[in-house]
Amino acid sequence: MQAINIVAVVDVIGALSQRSLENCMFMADNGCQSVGQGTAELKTVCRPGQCVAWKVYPVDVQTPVLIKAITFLDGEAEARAAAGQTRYGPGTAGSEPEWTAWNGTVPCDIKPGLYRYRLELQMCKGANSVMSAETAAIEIVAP
Amino acid sequence: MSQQMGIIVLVDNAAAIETGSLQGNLHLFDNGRWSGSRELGTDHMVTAIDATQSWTQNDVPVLNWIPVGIGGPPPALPQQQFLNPFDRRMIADVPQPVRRPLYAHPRILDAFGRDMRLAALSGAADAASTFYPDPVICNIAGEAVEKGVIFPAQYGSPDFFSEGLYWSATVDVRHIGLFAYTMTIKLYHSRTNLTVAEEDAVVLCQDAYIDITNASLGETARVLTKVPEGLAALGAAAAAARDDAKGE
Repeated sequence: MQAINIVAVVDVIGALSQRSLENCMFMADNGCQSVGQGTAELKTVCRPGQCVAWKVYPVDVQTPVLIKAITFLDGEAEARAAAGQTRYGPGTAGSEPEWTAWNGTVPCDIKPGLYRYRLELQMCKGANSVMSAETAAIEIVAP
Repeated sequence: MSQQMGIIVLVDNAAAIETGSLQGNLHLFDNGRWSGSRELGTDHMVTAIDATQSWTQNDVPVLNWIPVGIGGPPPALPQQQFLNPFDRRMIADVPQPVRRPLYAHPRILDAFGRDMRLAALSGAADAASTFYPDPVICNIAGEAVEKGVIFPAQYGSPDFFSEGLYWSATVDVRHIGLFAYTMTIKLYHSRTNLTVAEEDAVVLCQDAYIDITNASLGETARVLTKVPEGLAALGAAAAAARDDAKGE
């Protein structure tokens, strides 16, 4: 099954200036059933067994941004997602803004439904450099 | 200081190639929300430029377009267009199964006893896989270029994003108003069926806008352009005198 790619685009300078990701982060994916493309309220439709990959790009190529964590807000989903999640890319956040992707596989026996997640982004280092948004979700449908 | 505006051109390659259109399959984002950019995340974004922030000719706003494929390979990977067949296969996608209607009943098995519906979902039915490199901007043209509002050109860059080349444009802020421009985007794709690789590309166009405003005139500019009250009264008196002279 084809992986679904979720891309977050961040206006880093904007977010750091207002100390929040509100209106500074936009998301899109390449799933044809997803809702909220181009907004922070992206609802990605995926199926059990499907691989989901997250990527983050800054609008200004000279500003660094990395995914620090992806946490599912539902307890059960969180434990399952943590088990299947892999992280690629440079380990030290804020130093090498090269490329970081987060991958996960939807567990095959998970209940269909809406699973919201918290996307934590790290922009450089220091206080207030980590911001998160809880607006996006994945919706698991039956295969 | 001049404004360096980044414009991310995010393309769902597979969907754009299949539908033959960038409409709805392209998302534009910029960092000009502070100067009033709107329709962010859509295919018809309006990039706002505050003309009052430019004080000299060397200090004009610059627009930088960065094309990104949603399912594309990471930007740190060099030479995407010239990968060898093995690497290409490794990062290739099988066609999205949910794009095509499923005619098989859930319980129908094939001659080997495999569930046909599961086979269709897992992509096992398709021997072909498709590789979609990042989109490439070929040209930026249209009203804004014809009217001399923006001066686009392709530049080289040591960065890996967009193969070391990117489109950039300086803006002539003397033109106040809303102007359209057209991006010509080339989407390469290579379909590998067992050993045969078919290379192809489609060229698609999409319009977006730039809005050059002087509405947010800073306090300094407002003070500089303000006519002192006494002077205004003198001017009115002079005009009245002129009218009287004409009347006589």
